[in-house]
Amino acid sequence: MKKNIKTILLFVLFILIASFIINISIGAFDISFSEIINTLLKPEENMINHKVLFDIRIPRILLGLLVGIAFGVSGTMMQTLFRNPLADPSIIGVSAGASAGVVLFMMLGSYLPLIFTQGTLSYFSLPLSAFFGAIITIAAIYKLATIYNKVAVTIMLLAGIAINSLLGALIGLFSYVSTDEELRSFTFWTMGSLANGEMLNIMVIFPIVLFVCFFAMNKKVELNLLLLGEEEAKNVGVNTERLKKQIIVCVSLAIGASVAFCGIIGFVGLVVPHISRAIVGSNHKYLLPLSALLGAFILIWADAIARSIISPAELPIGIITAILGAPFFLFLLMKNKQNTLL
Amino acid sequence: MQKFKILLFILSLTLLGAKEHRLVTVGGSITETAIALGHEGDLIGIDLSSIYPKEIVKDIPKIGYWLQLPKEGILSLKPTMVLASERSKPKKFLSVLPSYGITTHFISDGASIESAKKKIMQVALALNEKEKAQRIINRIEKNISILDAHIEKLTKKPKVLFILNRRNGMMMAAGKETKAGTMIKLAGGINAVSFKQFTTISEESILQMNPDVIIFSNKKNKDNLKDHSILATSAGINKQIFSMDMLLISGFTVRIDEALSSLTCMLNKNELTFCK
Repeated sequence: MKKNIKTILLFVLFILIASFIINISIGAFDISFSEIINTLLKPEENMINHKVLFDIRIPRILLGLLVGIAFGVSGTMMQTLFRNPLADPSIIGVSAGASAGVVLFMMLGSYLPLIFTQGTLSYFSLPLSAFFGAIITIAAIYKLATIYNKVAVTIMLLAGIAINSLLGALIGLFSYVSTDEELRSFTFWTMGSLANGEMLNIMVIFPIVLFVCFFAMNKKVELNLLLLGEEEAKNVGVNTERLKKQIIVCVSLAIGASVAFCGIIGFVGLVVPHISRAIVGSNHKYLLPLSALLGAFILIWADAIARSIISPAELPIGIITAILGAPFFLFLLMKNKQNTLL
Repeated sequence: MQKFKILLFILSLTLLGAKEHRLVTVGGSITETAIALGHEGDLIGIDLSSIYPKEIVKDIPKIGYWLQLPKEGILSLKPTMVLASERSKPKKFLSVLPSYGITTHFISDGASIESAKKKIMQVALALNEKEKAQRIINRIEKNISILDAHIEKLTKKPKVLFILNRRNGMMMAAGKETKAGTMIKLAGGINAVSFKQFTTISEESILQMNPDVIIFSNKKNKDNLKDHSILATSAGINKQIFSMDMLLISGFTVRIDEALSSLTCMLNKNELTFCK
């Protein structure tokens, strides 16, 4: 069995690498494989191809990989933490918080000093407001759910729902005072896009994702024990309070950064852990790496569809992940229905 | 095979040569301006807001919405020139287009007649059509000065409500700082609503405002008003309910004079000398 699982992991890794290479040749701008090789060998003769590949397409795929890994690993940790198959990163308020941050920035943007809205720095204003929106919301939900220095997971879940709808109301209010243009921009933002793939953004998100992956793999045994229940985990010597806090910090960092650059990409964080669990079971030693690989795999292919299906225009990636993710999730649910009942 | 390839290459060159530019325009009014200046044959890509003139734009590839332009999508059309609204996004990408060898112009796209004239001139300078543009601008200036003379003489300013959409009883009204709101002001009307942006309003508040003129952006909405409560407003009683195309009223396009004159007529019961 163990050997089987390792083969599966290697197989998925191989498919992911192959997908990466195939993806380099997919996009609105027509570049064939032979042209790609030509471009790599003689960049100076294929300036435009070179720029399209290295300034636009490859950064975009890399961003997709990193964000996919972030969603896969975070989603898995969330479902383990809450011991709830419905948990995904948005449940602790990441998406709503980030949206509220963006909305506030759009509303108050005209009152801010020009340095935030024009020039080079302005490119970071929106991601930063999304990031801080997410972090502040999570901190608030976390604080609400902490009693006697212990995190009550159920309260966190419920507080998350309440805060989510509160922020939803704030966003609704925004649509009343915003200009047509702001509203449209915001709508696009909520549907997600990897078009922000630039080396600079990747440099920011890469160390975060790397750190979160290391953390998760490092805690695989504790996460397994947490599945038994908090009390049980505590009894066998897991510092559950510290572990819970660490998980929340890691997830907020990874998803906060992803949302900041890509907007809201739904469903990946929810579906990927389920698919992985169906394949390798719930041992985190295999579940975490498979979730990371599958998250990356799904996201880069969703983006390949998003950027080529109606070319020269593009679809928001959130639409693709939902259209593909929801029916697949239902299929999984129906297939496992009998197992669940028994 | 080699010969065939060379032949194909020459053929494609001559085909490309038939176009003066390979032009991508972003912004409905900018596309319209480029077409009005006679460059419809150069257009190889337009954004989704470019919807007029319908029979010309319907066959041109669409590159998506002007607030979220696709990087590769634009490059894949291999344009030689991009004329983009100064408000289009993402700015960061548009500003590096010249490094791909694409001449890029950012075109004025504000809500004023001055901006509309500037837009025409900027597009014309990029396309080397200064004379044609000057003729259009002269026409606009002449028509608008006639309009202004009429509007100044009017003693009573009508209360006007512009409704963007109507479904399930909810209506979106254009506020004072929207482009439609600016047009209402230019045409000598008073906006019935006091807020700045588009906002939903209820039937009850419309009855309270009691506008003298109601304009829908959609003709269907205007025609389906049987037994609707807004027929009880003074606009309804006096049959002063009209419809006007959204791009025309809010585009500040080359048809700005036409838009303003028909709006002014709507506001004055078609009683002015230039009304049809």
